Amino acid sequence: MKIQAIQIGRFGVWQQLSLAVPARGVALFYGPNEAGKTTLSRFIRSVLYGFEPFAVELCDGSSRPVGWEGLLRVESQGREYEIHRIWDRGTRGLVSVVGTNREQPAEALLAELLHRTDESLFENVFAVGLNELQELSTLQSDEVARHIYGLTLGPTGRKLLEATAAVEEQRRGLLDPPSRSGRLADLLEREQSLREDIAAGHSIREEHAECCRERSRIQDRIETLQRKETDIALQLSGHRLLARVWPLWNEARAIRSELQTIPEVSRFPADGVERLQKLETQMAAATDSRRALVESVRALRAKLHCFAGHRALHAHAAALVGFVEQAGWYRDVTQQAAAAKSREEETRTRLDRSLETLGPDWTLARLESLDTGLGARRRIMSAAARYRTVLRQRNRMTRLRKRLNRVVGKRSAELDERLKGLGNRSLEEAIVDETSRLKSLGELAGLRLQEAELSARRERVSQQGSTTPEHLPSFIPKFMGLLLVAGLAVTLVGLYQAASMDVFAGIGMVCIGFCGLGVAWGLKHHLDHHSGAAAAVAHDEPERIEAQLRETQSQIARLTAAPQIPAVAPATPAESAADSASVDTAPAVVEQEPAKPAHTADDDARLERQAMARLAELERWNRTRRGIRARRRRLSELRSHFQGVQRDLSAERQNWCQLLKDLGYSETVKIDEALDAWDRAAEARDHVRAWKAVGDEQRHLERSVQSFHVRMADAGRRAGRSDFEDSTILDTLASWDGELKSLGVVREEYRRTRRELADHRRKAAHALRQRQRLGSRLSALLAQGGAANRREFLERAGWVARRRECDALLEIADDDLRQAAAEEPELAIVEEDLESFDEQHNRERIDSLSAELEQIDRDRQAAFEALGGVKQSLKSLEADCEASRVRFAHSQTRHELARTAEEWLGIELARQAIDRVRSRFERSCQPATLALASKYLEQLTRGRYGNVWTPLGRRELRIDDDRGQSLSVEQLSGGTREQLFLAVRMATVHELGQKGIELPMVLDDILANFDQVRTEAAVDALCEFAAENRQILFFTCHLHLAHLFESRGVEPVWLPGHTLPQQERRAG
Amino acid sequence: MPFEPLRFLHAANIRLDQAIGETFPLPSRVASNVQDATRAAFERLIAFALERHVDFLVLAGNTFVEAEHSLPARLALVDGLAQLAEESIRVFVLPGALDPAEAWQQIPDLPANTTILDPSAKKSMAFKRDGKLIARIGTSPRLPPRKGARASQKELRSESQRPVPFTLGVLATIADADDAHLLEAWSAGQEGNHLASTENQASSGGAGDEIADAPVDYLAFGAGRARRTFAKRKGIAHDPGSVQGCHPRETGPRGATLVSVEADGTVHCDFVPTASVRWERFSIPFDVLTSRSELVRRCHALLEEKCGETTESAWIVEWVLRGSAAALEPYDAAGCRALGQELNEASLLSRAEGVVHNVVLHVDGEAAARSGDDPLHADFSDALAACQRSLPLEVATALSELASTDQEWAHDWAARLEGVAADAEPAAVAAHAQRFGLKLFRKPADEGAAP
Repeated sequence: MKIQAIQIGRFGVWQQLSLAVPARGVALFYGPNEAGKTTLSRFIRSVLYGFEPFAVELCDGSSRPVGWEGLLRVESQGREYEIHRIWDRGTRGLVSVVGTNREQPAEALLAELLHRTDESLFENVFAVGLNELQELSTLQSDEVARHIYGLTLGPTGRKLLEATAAVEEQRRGLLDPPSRSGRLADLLEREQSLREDIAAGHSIREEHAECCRERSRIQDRIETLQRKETDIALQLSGHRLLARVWPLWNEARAIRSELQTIPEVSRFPADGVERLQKLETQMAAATDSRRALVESVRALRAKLHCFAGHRALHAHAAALVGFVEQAGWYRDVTQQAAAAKSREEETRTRLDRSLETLGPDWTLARLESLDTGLGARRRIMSAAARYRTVLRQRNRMTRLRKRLNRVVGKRSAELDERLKGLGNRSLEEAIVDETSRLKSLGELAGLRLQEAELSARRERVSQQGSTTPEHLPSFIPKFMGLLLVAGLAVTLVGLYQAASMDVFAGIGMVCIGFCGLGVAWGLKHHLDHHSGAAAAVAHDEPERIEAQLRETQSQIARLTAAPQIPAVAPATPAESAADSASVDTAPAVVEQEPAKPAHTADDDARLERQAMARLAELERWNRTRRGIRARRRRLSELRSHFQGVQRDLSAERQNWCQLLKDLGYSETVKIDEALDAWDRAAEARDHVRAWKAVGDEQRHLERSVQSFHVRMADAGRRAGRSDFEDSTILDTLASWDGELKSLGVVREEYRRTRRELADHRRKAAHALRQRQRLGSRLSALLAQGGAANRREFLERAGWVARRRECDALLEIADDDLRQAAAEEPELAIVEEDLESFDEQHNRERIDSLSAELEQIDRDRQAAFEALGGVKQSLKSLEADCEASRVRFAHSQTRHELARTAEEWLGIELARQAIDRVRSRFERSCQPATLALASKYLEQLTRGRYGNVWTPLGRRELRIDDDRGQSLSVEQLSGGTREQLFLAVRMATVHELGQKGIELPMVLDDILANFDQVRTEAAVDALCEFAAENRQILFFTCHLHLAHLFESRGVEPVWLPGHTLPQQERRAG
Repeated sequence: MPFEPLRFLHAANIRLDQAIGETFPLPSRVASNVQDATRAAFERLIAFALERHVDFLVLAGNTFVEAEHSLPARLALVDGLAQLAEESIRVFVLPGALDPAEAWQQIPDLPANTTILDPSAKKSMAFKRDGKLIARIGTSPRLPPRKGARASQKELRSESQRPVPFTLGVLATIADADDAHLLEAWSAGQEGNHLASTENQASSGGAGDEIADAPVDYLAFGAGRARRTFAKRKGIAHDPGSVQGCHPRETGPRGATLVSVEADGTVHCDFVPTASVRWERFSIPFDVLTSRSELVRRCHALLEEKCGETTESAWIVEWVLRGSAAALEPYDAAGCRALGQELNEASLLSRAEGVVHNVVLHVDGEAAARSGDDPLHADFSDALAACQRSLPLEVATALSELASTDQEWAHDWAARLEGVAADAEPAAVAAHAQRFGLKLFRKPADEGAAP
């Protein structure tokens, strides 16, 4: 298809444009900016594929669709057609195709002319502007991509793609770096983990060696300790032996030294010392006996002197016994007196406390004058009860009155608040108004119903009037005529029969004939009357109905024109429910909206409902007000009753106060306080009585005790007793009692003491004689021992005894020393050691060595424990096979890793081989379109880029430059990219042309970004391309392009309005 | 030349408690044996020495792996040496690459019967029996001249035919090239070199007194790579191999050597089995026509040729199926496992419960595209061949792609994989790639691919 002419009725800036287009080669349209070149190219596309929805925005902001219209005169397969398209709402324009007599829809004919290409193909391949040329995405639609990218790859390409995918999948299965997964990755990680485990296990051997060293060290230490222990034990034994031997040796040495110092005594009596001691003992005993006897004699004399006082006591013993016997009585009386005194004090304290609680104005005298009897109590209790009753009554009425006052005040305030909404009207007036309004609305509803009925009737009547009178069925007049004719005929026949043949038969037939005539006349009369009445009714009824209707409408107008009444907004059901319980929630009073004329029954019904609701609300308020009034009345009654009760209360209070005064109490209106005071006063009165009684008793007992004292003092003085002055009576009596009881014993003791005194005097004389005899014998003994005195005798006796003792000790010490030395045969003790022996030092040394031994023992135990621990560690280390197992696992993993790595490398090798095959395939087995595009690109770029190809299975173009470098589209410069896309489009157009799809190319200034060389190359390529029986419509605003094409023999089409400057330029 | 009769044990490459796991996952009944294999081998060695009451034991390198810091290894070693010490059996130890002298010196409680040979020392160690010098053990293939000792000995021998000390040179090498140099140095001056690689009997008699530094009578290799014997006119060089195979490549029976020196100088080297785990590796050619039953039959025949040792309680047999990728195609991982299981169930050895089979595939050469194959497969094969030729580069590319991730662990992984890739077998890598390519580009059966 080729365009021969363009005629635009209206499209964009163009109106009534008519352009002739060369049918072959390049048609160059030149026009400056805003000349409408793009509009023209859009027009071509719009006529072929439909207008885009377009509207003009008006001044008022609304939009108005624009009526585009135009036609293209085209030539296709030797025939000329006119494709006309006009704007139509809701479609892309109505199209008509002129030039064929085929009875097909214009759309089908047009699709056939366009070779059933879709708009996107035309837009992306045939009609492109600079924007479309620059965008790769315009080549990505499926139909275009099918040509360019060869989406049907063929079995080889498909297989290569599948192989690539399979390789990738296999690679990912082995090693997928992004996700760090795959068999190889698992093995690498496992191997790494095992390697770390092995590295961690490297220290085990060192640990074992360390343990071995530690074991050796501990064993050495144990041996050292044992050696040291042996040495120390030996030393200790030596020291202990020395300690045992030295005292023996030392003792022997001391004894010998002592023996040397003791003088020898000859002929000393063998038992001289014993005899001397015996004599001395006997002498001392005799001396002591005599001294004791002398002392005893002196004591007995003093004792006899003490017995002198007992004689006076013996003389007054009977009087004193009487007092002693009254000691029990005296104790009881004394205790009773003390108890009475304490009770009195206690009672007095309680009394004082009671007086304090009664108050400062209460004295003992007032208390004693108080009446607390039962009569007084009855009186005060009855008065208190009366007073309380009246008080309670007064309080109850006070509370009731307050509550009523509060309720009435609250409800009155609420009601007043609501009534404010009624304005100046009272509640009764509002109810009357609302009632009359409801009545009016009822009437209005009736009138509207009547109006509707009248209107309906008027309609019916008018319909009846417009129709013709009711026609009787056609057979009725015929029947009436037949009946009339038959009647006449029968009458005539009857007359003839009566006249000629049979009178009766003739009369009968005449009668029948008259009957027929009568029936016919009757029917006709009835029908005439009925039609006349109907005509009269049809004439009067519309007027009457119209009059009634007017009347009704005037009434309605009057009612609806009545002044509107302020209404109370109907309460919601919830509010109504709440109001029914209480009037706390006040319904809002609102101004009713200006009533619109009620035009419908629904409006009337709504208004009526509203009015009823308002009326109900007003009635409720009225009931509330009546309730408030009733409460006020009751409140007034209560007030008068309350005054009476108040009077009763005053009387009772006066009686109460008077009673308190009479009874001696303080006046008070507080009953409980008064009763409490009464109770406390009664209690205090009891305390007074108790206090007085106890005081009397105490005084009586005091007097009895005093009398006993006086009498007892007299008797004591008579018996010579003065001891009661300083002690208590009871002690004195106890003393007297004791003395009286021991009086007999004392007498007997007196007599025995006298006898004893005589005996002791005699024994003292005998002891003196015995001592003198013993002195003589002692002197004889001293002379026998060669001593002048006792000391010398004893000294000589000591010398003898000590020598004997030292000899014995020396013998024992020598034996012990020999035995001790024999206990430690391996130890030898020399005299020098014993001589230089220091016991303190030796003891310290023994202690030190013992401590050292203990320490060594502890150290050895600790070492044995440490050795056990180390041996245990060694045992566990030696039993640990984990390191071997890990190394084994590591070795196996390494083997598996090596095998898997081989597999992975094999896959990598296969991938690279496939890449090579694929690369060769991509470069050698490209779609025909890209092969052609390569040719055009080479032409457009003057040989700079020679090969256009696309990777298998990808919508991606790649270009090889003259150095064999493969570049992606993104790596190309803007101009080269446009040249690539132009070449691809030219190839696509060529390919489509091979398939019979021939459409004009519409290029809108696509060479704007080409440099001079490539512009000329492009112009040449386009001209050459168009020369192959193709049509190219090239729009440009660049004059040099126009001239360039012109220089190639292409006559530019100067778009209207721009011819003059071009001419001038051309002339220039 | 008369010698005092002498009997000693020569063992090498014991690698006590080294992890033997360079294999596929093993069943637990075998895994425990494998895990303790080296220690068990050492214990057998000690037991044998005690039982035969040898004169001394020569541990010629790599007795343990110091890098593993194994405590069980040290305990087993000290315990074994202590047992020998109780029986007054001396032990001469040559430190190897895995057990350096410093590591030996750090062992506490090393029994006094143990003598650590210093490879750098010229002086040899004397072994005496009842005060009589029986043997001299050094670390050189040739004895150094010692103040005309050899000449004086020769004179003495010639005069009274008194026994002379038997000389041992214990040396540990790292590579086969070292072994060759060592042998060359040892055999210098010896005429009529002849190898006795299988039979371990040679005469050490003869006059080697022409040169001052005479070769030792017994050169004890310490490499322990394989059991081999080199007999020369003067003396014998012997490598007993490792006492326990620790790698799938260390196949066959493993143990030590009991060296008996007779009075006339005859040296007997008797194999002393010590290994409890035996590795075997068989390569079986395989083509598309080989059925599974045929394959099992072949395996059976190969196994029958082998006889086990009494000490062996487990066999780990690796079957390498060599063939084209197409022939090996049915034997993917699951197929290999199934075949291994079938071989296990076939009870190919009497001790079947201790035998584990593993099947490994080896694709021969570059798989050429078959006629009628998908052209893509041919392209792939060509591309694979090209990639294979530049395998290190391709591996480096793959690793650099991995390392290009910003994650630190990715760098670590790449570095570790680089180490693993360095040890990878290029043939195995290529086999994987070929098998994968075949799977990808194989024509469906209905399209009539290869028969």
